[in-house]
Amino acid sequence: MAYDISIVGASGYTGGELLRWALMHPEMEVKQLTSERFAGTPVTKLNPTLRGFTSANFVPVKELNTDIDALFLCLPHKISAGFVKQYLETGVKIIDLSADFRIHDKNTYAKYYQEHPHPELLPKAVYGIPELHREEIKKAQLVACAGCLATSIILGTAPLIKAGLIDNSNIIADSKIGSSASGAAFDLSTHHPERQGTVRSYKPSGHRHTAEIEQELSEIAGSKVSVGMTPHAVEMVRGILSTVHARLNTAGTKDLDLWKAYRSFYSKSPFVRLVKDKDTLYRYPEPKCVVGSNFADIGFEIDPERSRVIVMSTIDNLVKGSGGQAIQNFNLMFGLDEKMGLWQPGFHPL
Amino acid sequence: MIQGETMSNAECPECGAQIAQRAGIEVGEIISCGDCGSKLEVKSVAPFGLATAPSVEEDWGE
Repeated sequence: MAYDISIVGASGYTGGELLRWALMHPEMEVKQLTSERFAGTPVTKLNPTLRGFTSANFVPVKELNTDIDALFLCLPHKISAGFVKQYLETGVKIIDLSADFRIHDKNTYAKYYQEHPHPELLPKAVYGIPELHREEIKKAQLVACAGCLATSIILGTAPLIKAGLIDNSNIIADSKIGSSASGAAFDLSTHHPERQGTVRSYKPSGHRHTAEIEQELSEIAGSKVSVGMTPHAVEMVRGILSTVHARLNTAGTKDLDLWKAYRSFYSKSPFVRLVKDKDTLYRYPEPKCVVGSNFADIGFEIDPERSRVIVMSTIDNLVKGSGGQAIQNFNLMFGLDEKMGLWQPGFHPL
Repeated sequence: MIQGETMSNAECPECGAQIAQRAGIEVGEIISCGDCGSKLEVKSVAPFGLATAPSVEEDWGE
């Protein structure tokens, strides 16, 4: 049985990537794709790789038919919340790719974004990283897909916190991210002569994703976790590499202790691969190895002299960081195999 | 392997990965762990046992 789905705000990079996976999914029937700016335009004009896969045109959201099984929202924060409010009442399952329902606490949301337009709905949302909330997602009507940077950092750090291996009070995450993360809208900062060749620290402290990272890791720890996160825009179109630094709680912690912690945490998580291989060119995670796939590759190294651990975590920001993870959440919400429609490797060479 | 003998797994001493015993494998063979890439020496075949292989030692003939 195929489930009918529609995508609101389908003309951006997130919506386009989600559509790519949805069109190939054996249990999904794509019904409508909305865009105000591109209403009436063939979808393939913006997504040329989908030629031959769909002949649909974008429609304005006023034509949206909610007699469907699932609705994906690929809208800016604050705008998305209004649609969630409107459509939750119809009973449709909603997968929101905006930030509006990631943060449980309305005051924290206000600190990093603005006043929440519908704080009464916050308790209805489940944070959408399946590796952390698989069972809750299965029962949810509203899933808030995690941010891309947050996904890479949380997946890399959560097992160490769960196992009590690191000092939770001073975790540092340094991320490198490709240009597609800034979306399909453009300004001077994304203009080619300005963006080309850049290694730009664009938010050294207080990045919005810090809120969801600390929320999720604190939930695992059972106490406050502090994460300083600094992202850098680098010369890639897709991909994130987050390098996380933390102090080990116990001097003499061995590689084997960390292997056990990661294997235990991800024993039921098919999209997390542990990468720490002495015997290959690709010894640690690299974005090149996950681009185009829903995998998160995670590796680590202990610095015994300083009793420190360095974790490398990489994802494709548009796949595991948004569209792919949204499909993974959909699969769980509808009782399907978590891997359905997503089980494919990236490209090599790239 | 002798007919009827059960093939078993051994744990990589470096990363803890389960490594399956390949038919015909012999004591002294050097194999790689598929997870961490460590070079491992087969110390026994019944039961299957592995140890981290010694690093190549340099001898300049002095």
